[in-house]
Formats: sequence, structure tokens, C-alpha cells
Amino acid sequence: MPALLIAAEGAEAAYGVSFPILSAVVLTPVVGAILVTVISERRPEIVRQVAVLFAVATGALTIGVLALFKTAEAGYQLVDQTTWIKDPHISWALGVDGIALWLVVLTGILFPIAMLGAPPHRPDSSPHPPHLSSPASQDDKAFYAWLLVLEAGCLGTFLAMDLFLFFVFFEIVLVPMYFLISGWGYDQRKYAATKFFLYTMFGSAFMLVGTIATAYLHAKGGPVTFDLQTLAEDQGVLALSTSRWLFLSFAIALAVKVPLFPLHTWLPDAHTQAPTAGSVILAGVMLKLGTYGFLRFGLYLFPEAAAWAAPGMVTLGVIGIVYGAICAAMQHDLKRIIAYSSVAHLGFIALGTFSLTTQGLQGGVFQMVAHGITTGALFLLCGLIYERRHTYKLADLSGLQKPAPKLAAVFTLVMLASIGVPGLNGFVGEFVILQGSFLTRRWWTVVAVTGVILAAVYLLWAYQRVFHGEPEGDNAKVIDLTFTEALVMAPLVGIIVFMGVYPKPIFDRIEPAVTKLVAHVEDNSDYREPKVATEGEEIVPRSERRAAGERGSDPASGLGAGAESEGGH
Amino acid sequence: MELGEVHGTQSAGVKWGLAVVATIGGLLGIAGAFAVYIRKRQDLAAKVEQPVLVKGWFYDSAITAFMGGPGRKAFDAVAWFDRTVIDGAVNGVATVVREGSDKGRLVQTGYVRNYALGLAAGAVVVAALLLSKAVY
Repeated sequence: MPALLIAAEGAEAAYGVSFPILSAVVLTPVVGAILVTVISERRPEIVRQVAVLFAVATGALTIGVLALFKTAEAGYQLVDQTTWIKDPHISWALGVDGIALWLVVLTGILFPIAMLGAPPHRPDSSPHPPHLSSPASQDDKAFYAWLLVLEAGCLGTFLAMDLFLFFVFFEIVLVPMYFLISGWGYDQRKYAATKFFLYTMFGSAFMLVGTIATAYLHAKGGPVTFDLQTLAEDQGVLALSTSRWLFLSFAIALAVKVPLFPLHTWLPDAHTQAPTAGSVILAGVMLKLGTYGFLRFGLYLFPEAAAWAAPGMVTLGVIGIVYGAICAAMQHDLKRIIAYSSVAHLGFIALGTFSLTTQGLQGGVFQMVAHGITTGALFLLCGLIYERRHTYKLADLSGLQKPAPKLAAVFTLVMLASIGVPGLNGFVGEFVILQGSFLTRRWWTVVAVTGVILAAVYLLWAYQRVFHGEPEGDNAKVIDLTFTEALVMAPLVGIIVFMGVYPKPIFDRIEPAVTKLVAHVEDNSDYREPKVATEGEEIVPRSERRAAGERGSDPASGLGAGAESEGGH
Repeated sequence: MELGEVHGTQSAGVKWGLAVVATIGGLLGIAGAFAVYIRKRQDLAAKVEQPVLVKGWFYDSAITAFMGGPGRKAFDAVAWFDRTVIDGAVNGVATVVREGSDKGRLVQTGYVRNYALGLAAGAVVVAALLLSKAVY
């Protein structure tokens, strides 16, 4: 990594141009995908190596982005802008800020792990395959190429600074995922893949109209631009009702992607039927395209409309939390439980985002990354169980803890992170979200907290049914976590613990961008963030303030501020 | 308000309500103690107090009874609602589109006479419209 940094800085010093690292991040997987498809048919064994090499290289580049990122800056950094189409003005504009940064890093980390930990499943393989060294087949070329295309699409979506470019990437992502599910999925893969594709396309149709309408209405007959910053910073051009309608057109597409209740039913099917690597990426990265989109194309692009819609969005988020958790508790399939748990967790992110408070947004961004890591790890572990038992049915699994104690231990840790136990990453995200949402949406927060308890209910119950008890038959012969499998899981476990114990470096980079975004919403709407004391602010006891002659020190001023905005919407 | 301190500002009704509940609880306790220790009703203690305390105020068994019975039924109902209503609506739309287009396909017979009939019917409608305009 230092070599890369030196090279980047060297290029900047020598030529006065900086190395376009963000374009490199997006294009490296594309090059990888092309190379993988042209590998000779006589060399099937190197397909996976090449694919993983490119995924690792992309991951290294995202770490490079993290290293070059200036912590205290709120705006876009490392911007890389080239005009693509002159009129209307569409450009290949990539940039990273504190909101996108960690999602880019998450994508960079999760893809190589998904490729290493979850090769395409082959039904004809022996009952106890040496998981990570199963023989390669011709089919693998397409599998890995699609995964690399998917990675490019996800990274592009997070980095795009142009509405049109965002839409292109947002849609490109569907194609590889469709083929991954329909080609390498389980029994009902065709149904799940079609449903996933059509459902998301249905939502995106609204967003396409919204994208074009936003750019053209904003131009008012003048030059048309799709540049996100120009459109977002120049508020007041569009009429109030127009921008609210446009917000809704974006919101439908993003709500399907998140997914928010009641637009979530593609998710359990897609997650359950997808091959393990597909599930890891779907839950880990792709759902965040929606929540990320809400920050960029909801709060940033339409701040007034976002504040206007906040009560509704928060309500949908809270319904999702409770509803997703209850549905998860009643599933009979391990993968479906985790799929529904995503609905609940993403509800928390929606709650944080539309609480419109700095903490809520910070927690939301943090939780996006935390959920990506933990749910990705959970799906990987499910895949390992499937490799051993060839089933996800809870009824067929029991007592795995005895033959596979290490697998059980890793599952326990990841599960506790997903529940939100202090010391692990899920807790930090949920706590900060709830802290933020309490300021503006007190009763919603009270209901949302039950989601934490319900998460413990469905996950502990699932764990109990799969790992506890006396193993019989095939369950007793399950092999434990192998060394290579442990190596694949190790980085995820490490990140889970690190994020839970020391989240400061992550929040430090999220905070400036989030503060700026909340200020942007305040500047362009009636919404005012309830004031809370910031670090270093002096705390003066009420009695002393009274003595100093301060007037109007209402004992409930802090609470009143919260209640006011609660009633204000 | 001091930071780190939250003073709940309940309404007078809530305060009095809680006070009444607490007082009734206290009075019931005094009445129970009076019955057992002054009136020497040890049988009452054996019948009521001991089983309740041994079972830990029935706390665990109440939760088990709820989650095993009505709680589980309610959860199942939500899962059923998700399968049948929410997902049913999605699949319903798909079914309507599929069957609608299945029916629609029947129009495409491939016979020239059928298409000619369609054209003729259209011509009649157009002619009728023109005629009606000319007449009125």
C-alpha cells in the first residue's frame, strides 16, 4: 500500500495530474471480467485465481482511497471528472465523501472474500467436499466474470456524482445479479431471479423518469446538466410540489432496493435462491445502494421534500424493523431467517436516515457497513453449512455444535454482532441510530427498540435449533471449519470486533459529510435539528444558571426542542 | 436542563395514577401481612404466597404460555400475511399479466380472414362515426 501511495503522490508531483484512483477502482473489475472471459478453455483452473487477483487488486485500491481520504473534509474528494456527453451535459464524474467512503471499502473487502469463501455450488459434488478446492469447471468463467461486473457496478453507484451515471450503474448491477441467481442458484432460481429483476426494474422506471425530469425541469430551458452537485446546491429552482413529486419518484426505486415494507418480498426469494456468493453481495452491498441513494438523492437532492416525507419514511422503517423480525422468527429455512433479518436491519438504517439528525445519519452510514459485514459473514456461514449438509431446512439440522465446534463459535460471534450485543459492530450502529432518532422521533424509537429484542429471539432460536441438541445421522458427521475456511472468515470476524470496540476512525470520516448534509437539509427546509450539547460544551447546573440571572431556563428545553419538531411534521 | 440528566415531565394524571397504584399495592401487602401474622391464617400463606414465590411470580411460565400460544399464533399470522397478502399481491400482478397476455395472444390467429374481419369492423366504425357527424 505505501508503494501505491508514493506512486500516486509521485504522479501528482511530476505531472500535475493526480492518478485517477476512483476510475481505477471502478474499471479494475471490468478489466478482470474481460480477462476472465477470454481465459483459454484448456486452463479452467486459473479462472478463479485471476478473478480473485482482480478482486483483491480492487480491494487494495479501495484501501488506497481510504488512505488518500482527508478525514476532516466534508465535500467530495479525489474527484475524477471527464465530459461524456456534451449536450445534455453528462459526465463521467466520480468522487468520494465520508458517506460513500466506507461503502466503497466494504465493497472492496467483501467481493474477494465472497469469491474465496463461496465458489459456485455444484450439486454433483461429493457429500463432504473439500470446500475450497473443489475442481473448477467451464461454468466458473461466467460466474466470476459476472461477479466482477457486479463489483464494478456497485462501486460505480457509490462513487457517481452525476445523476445519469448513477442511474446507469444502478441498473447495470441488476444484470449480473440476475444471471448469478438464475444460473447458479437453488431449486426456484428462475422464479426468484425474474421476480428480483422485474420488481427492481419496476421501481427504477420511476427513477429514470425522475432523473430526466429533475435535469430538464431544473434547466428551465437553459443548458441541461445531470451534475449532482449543481442540481443539489441550486435549490429553489423547482416548485415545492414538483420537487416533492420528484423525490417520490426516486423514493420508490430506492425503497424497492432497500427494501422498505411493503416492497420487500423480492428479497427473501432472491437471497434464499441465490448462490452463497450472490447472497453475500446482495445483502452485504446491494441493499446499501438503496439506503445510500436515500442520502444522496433524497436528503441531498431534495432536502425540503425529504424533511416533508420524513414521518412517512420513518414509519415504514419502523414497520420494517418489527415486521421483518416477526417474519424472520417464523421461517423454517436458515437462509430465509437471515434474509428477513435484513429487512429489519435496513429498517433501522431508514429510521436513522430520516430522523434527519447528525447521529441518526452517522449511525445509519455505520450500520450500512456493519450490516454488510455481519450479514455477509452469516450468509457465508450458511453456505458452509449447506456444503456439509446440502440443506437449509431447520428441521433437518441439529446438534452441529458437537461435530463442528469452531464453526459454531464463529457463527455465535457473528450472530451476536447481528443481534447488536455491545462490543460488536451491530450494537454501535443501532445505538447511534436510536440515539439520533430519539431526538426527533421519540415514539418511533421506542417501537424500534423492540426490534433489538426480536432480533435476539429469532437468531438465538435459529442457533438453538441448528447447533444445539444431539446430532444424529449426517448431522453427526459434519466436518468442522477447515483452516482455509477459517482464513476466509478471519478478516470479517476481525472487522466485526474492531468496529465494535473502536469505531472512532470510522465515525471520524463519516461525521463531516453527515454534518454538512444535515446543514444542507436545514438550509433548504423548515426543519431544524434539535440542539444537543457538543463535545467540550460547558455543563452548567441549572441552579447556578439561575443564580447567574439567566432567564427562561426552562427545565424541559432540551426535551421541548425534540417534542416541537415531533409535532411540527 | 443539566446535561446527562433527563427530567421526565409527566402530566399530573400520570403522577396521581401511579401514586394510586403504588398505594393500593402497599395496602394489599399490609392486608395480606395482617391476615397471615395477626389473624394467624398460615393456610393462606401456604396456598397463595408460597406457590407464587416458588414459581417466581409466574413470570417465566407466563412468557412461555404467551409465546407458545397466542404469541406464536400472532407471529404466524404476520408471516401468513406476508406470504399471502404482500407477496400475493406481487405474484397476483404477475399472474394477471401472464393470463391477460395468454388471452391476448388468441387474437393473433395468423389467418388473413380474421385480420380482414378486424379491418372491416374498424372501417364500419369509422364510417359510422363520419356518418353520424354528417347527419347531426
